[in-house]
Amino acid sequence: MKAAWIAAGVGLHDLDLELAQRHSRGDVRAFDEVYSRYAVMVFNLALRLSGDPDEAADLTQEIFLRVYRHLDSFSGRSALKTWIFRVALNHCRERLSRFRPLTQPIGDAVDGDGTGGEASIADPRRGPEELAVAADLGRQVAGALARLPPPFREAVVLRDLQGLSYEEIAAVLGVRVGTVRSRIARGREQLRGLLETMAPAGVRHRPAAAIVDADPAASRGDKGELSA
Amino acid sequence: MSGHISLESLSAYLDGETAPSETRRLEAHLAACAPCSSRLEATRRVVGGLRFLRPAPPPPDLPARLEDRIAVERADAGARRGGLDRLSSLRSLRSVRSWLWWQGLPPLHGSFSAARPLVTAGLALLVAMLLLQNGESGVGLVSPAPKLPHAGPEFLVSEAFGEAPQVLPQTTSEVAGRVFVWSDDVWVQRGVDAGPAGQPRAVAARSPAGRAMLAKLSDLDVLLADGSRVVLRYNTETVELWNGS
Repeated sequence: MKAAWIAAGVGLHDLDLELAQRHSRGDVRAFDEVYSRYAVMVFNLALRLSGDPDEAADLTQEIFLRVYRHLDSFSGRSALKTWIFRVALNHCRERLSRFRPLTQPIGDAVDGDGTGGEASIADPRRGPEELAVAADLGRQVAGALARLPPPFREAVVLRDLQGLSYEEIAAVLGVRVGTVRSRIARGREQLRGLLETMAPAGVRHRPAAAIVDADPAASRGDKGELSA
Repeated sequence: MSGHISLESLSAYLDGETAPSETRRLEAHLAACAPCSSRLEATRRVVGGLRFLRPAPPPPDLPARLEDRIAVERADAGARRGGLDRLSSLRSLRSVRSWLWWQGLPPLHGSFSAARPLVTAGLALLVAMLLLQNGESGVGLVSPAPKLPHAGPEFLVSEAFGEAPQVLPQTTSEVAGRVFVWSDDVWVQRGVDAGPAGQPRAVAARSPAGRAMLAKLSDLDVLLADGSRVVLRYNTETVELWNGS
């Protein structure tokens, strides 16, 4: 697909640029399209950086308001996705650092009914017991993630939850790829340590292992991940 | 390969972010080293655990809320066209702040010195006077420029009484070996505040000069992306780069 566009002489960012230009010409469908494409992405970034669904909703609204105001200044030098991630990250950093602590105690990161995103993992093909285990483990992981120092949390969220490449993360964070590599590794290592200390009393097996045992998706795709 | 594989390499290998030659070396080592294989598995388990955080849908009322805000924004813009432009007043104010800063007063992003609260209190008073002149009760929720939210009453009151935020923004970025610090909605190249006196030369990113700068430091456009400005030392002069034409 990418090759086809390049062969046709259409840069990938040109399509993003066209969207921005439509917006500046007053085409309201352009902004609708931007929202449809990126709302889930932005909301989940805000959710994982703030640890609070209500805060994440407010952040998402403000972020898209910024996007609405400044979309006409998008120059197409980067992908629109990178640009929006950048806007979102800056806004989250500003607001979260100014008005509330960036980390939360374990267990407070999501509310009791799992609306911090864990509710969405429900898969009708999975049994109630399996879903309960998954929800519980999801809360543990969210709690541990919320305790990571912000630079590590940002890198891990962008990589493991948003699926960005190291190069894309470097562009979003404005750092070198080597820095991204280091932050992801250190973030994951700290996460592993936190998850180990979060094993419930009486359960001495490694929680990270329990997580993988309970996750049917964890056993597949390893080969693909390892391929360079 | 001597010794064990670093965590960084294991993590990058897991993500398929190692070069083919490095991948081959790592795989040869992993095949013969139980401790490294064990650490790789531990990292893989952590990544697997993150799969439990599946994407959550945004609240269903979010589009409607956003539409309302945008409608306010449009109405606000329409009303502004007919009367005194409070934005231009605030822009002038920002220029004053910028001018004071560049004349050697305490840096906006440095530690809070004794003079800074006084300066900020004065600026807060000016903002209040400007808003009263416009017959408005305060800065609107929706502003037509990215700078305005930072000039809102909450921010200024906090500074006027010398109450620094509990957690200062930690944002830094590296571009072509330069470190930039996010400071009061401007990216400032670290160390640039010790530069020559006088106002920095303002350069629009889309002007020929701006394009030439971005061609040399292309990562800067990422910093400019959300409408913020970048203050940097470029050749021998201090330049404020902004995302406009």
